[in-house]
Amino acid sequence: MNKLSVILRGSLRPLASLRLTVLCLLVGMLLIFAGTLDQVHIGIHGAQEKYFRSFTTLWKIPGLAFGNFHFGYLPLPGGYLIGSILLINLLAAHIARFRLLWRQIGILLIHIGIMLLLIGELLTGLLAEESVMNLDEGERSSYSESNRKTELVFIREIDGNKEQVVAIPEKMLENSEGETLHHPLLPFSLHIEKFMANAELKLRTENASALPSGATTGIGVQVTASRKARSGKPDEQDSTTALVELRAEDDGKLGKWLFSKNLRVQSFKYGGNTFFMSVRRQRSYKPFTLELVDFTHDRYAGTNIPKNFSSKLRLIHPAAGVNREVLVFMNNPLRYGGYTFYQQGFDNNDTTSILQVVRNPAWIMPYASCTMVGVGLIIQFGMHLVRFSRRRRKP
Amino acid sequence: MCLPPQFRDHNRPVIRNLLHTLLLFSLASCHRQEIRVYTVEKENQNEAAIQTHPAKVSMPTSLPDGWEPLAPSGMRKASYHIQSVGNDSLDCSVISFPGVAGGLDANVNRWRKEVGLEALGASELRASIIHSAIDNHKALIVDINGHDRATLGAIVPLKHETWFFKLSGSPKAISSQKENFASFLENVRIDATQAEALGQFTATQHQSRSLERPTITYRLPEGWKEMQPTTMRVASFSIPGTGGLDADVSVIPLPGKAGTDLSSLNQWRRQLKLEEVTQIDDLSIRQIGNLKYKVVDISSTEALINGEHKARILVAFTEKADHKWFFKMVGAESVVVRETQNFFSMISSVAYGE
Repeated sequence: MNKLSVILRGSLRPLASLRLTVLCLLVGMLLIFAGTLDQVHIGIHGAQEKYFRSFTTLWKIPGLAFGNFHFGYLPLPGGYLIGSILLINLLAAHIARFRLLWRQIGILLIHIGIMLLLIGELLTGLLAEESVMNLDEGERSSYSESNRKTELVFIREIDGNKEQVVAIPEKMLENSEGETLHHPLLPFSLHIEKFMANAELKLRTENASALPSGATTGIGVQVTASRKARSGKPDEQDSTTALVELRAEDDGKLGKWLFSKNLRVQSFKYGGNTFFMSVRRQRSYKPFTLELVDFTHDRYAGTNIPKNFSSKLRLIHPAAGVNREVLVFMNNPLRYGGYTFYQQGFDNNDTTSILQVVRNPAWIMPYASCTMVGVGLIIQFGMHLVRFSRRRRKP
Repeated sequence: MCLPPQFRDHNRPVIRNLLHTLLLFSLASCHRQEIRVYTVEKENQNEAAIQTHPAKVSMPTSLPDGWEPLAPSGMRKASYHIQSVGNDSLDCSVISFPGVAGGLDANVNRWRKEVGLEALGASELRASIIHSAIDNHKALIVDINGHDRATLGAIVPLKHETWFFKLSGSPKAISSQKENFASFLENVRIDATQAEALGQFTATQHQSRSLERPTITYRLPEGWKEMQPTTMRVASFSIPGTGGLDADVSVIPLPGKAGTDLSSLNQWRRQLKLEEVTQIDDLSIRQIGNLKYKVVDISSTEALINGEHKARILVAFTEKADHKWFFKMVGAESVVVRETQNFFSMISSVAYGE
């Protein structure tokens, strides 16, 4: 062993500490416990973002309150931090402590599998996109909509049968509160007066004492909008709302509009064009189209408990010469073009199918890592078994 | 809990490397946000249709006693004034909003605040909601009782919109109108499949349509007594039975498809206090006169009439002249069985007007 190797191993030894592994696992358990408890309040998505896809988090320990004053807060490392430390810890352990020996091949496979699992989860968190596609029977669609993210869109008709969409993501609206956004395809600029990640809208006629929304034109004049906390619950969607003033260089201020996910599309004529404006769920267009041919829903006799539901779809991708029918049902998704379409649900008296659309470049990693861990365990325990049985045979 | 000593004591470069790695991870997690521009096929849209395809929701034309329709105003699709017990009056409003309209929790808690109650947490609130159905669409029933104000509401979340049916008044008056409100909701018709974007339906339109309702002529069976038609019934009969056990026959035409067969069947089963079904087993096809009718014949399992006699419902329905025609006989089982032949004879004699 040369000197450099000795120095490297020595310097990595603190990071390779087994105590650090145990510490990370214990904190990880605490994090899972905290996330599970908090999931009741903030929903599965909220818990996932707050506890597991973050570097640090603050757990509001339930029950530790004096009147309205809550004093039970515990800062915790988030899932990304614990996962990263575990990954480094495992890598360091291999460099500092383990040697490439045939008798350790099982352990090596198990550890590589765990590393892949950690990296896979990180890549999933960073790269995976989840959205939904709602299709009525007979309807075609080439886009899916985000579960959580929204966008403010300005739609303008071009060439008679096409429309040009300028979509401003919710995050950009949030970061631009008080600022002005410009885009060369819009003949006006957008001054974001107020952004609300979630808002409660009420009619002014029903709530006369509430302050008006601030809108000077459009349907926003008739409503009030008050800020609300974000909801992370799976069955609720935040009502992204923004008060935006449209400004033009030549004509000055063109009015303040209230855009909200809970308001209908509004239109505005300017410069010879009609713009349709709304806040909607962020769309992701695909190069292919899906048509819902038929949706079937079987229930257990005499109950409303679903037994099976499936969607017969037609996949149309002219550029690839694809036009075929596919059947999607529970645990039998359609994988095409890097997307996976799972049967998620149904609506409207079984005439609408809801497909979950997942794009996860790292989808293979959990399968590969679990296989490696499984094979590693079999080898490791197999070797122990052989050794044990040999020892027993000796007199 | 503290870090192991060797982690704290040495090798600052290693810790620095660790921090660098973490920084890289955190930078990688910052998703870049930018304005997207794309061109797509034009959707079949106009201002209202881009996002919302409003369902066609029809208010009942036959209202419970004491219910007086008011002209729709502002956002109200329909509005009713109800004179209840004593001098108490109630207000019934029907409103729809696009999308989820702020969410279930926010709306129910708003109603709670209106009657002077505290907002509830999500789990308590969900537990207080009764799951039901209006014309085969999911409906969430909320019964909120404050000290001097109460609200009975139904929230119907549809694909692109949410409908709110709200009855508000004093707790005593609400209590006296619960059955009427349920009966009102039972007769609401929702057609969410038609995406007629701009054709939002109002009570006024429906009332004017009811004036144009179709007519029939028929031969009156012996022993049957003609009753005054109502806004919903084009013909109505009473069949006197022995011991005060009368049966009632109604002829009701509803425009369009008027809900599914299953929703109608379950509505009649509810009347007989039978459990709802998910499949139609109690339906037969019968040729009556020149037309084929679907026939449902169901009996209660409990003695619903005077606590001594089982009730029975016999319904024949068919589609004719853009309407679904319901001929329904309901009464004590013995009377319905006895009058079955007369019931079908009367139907076979029916001539539908244009």
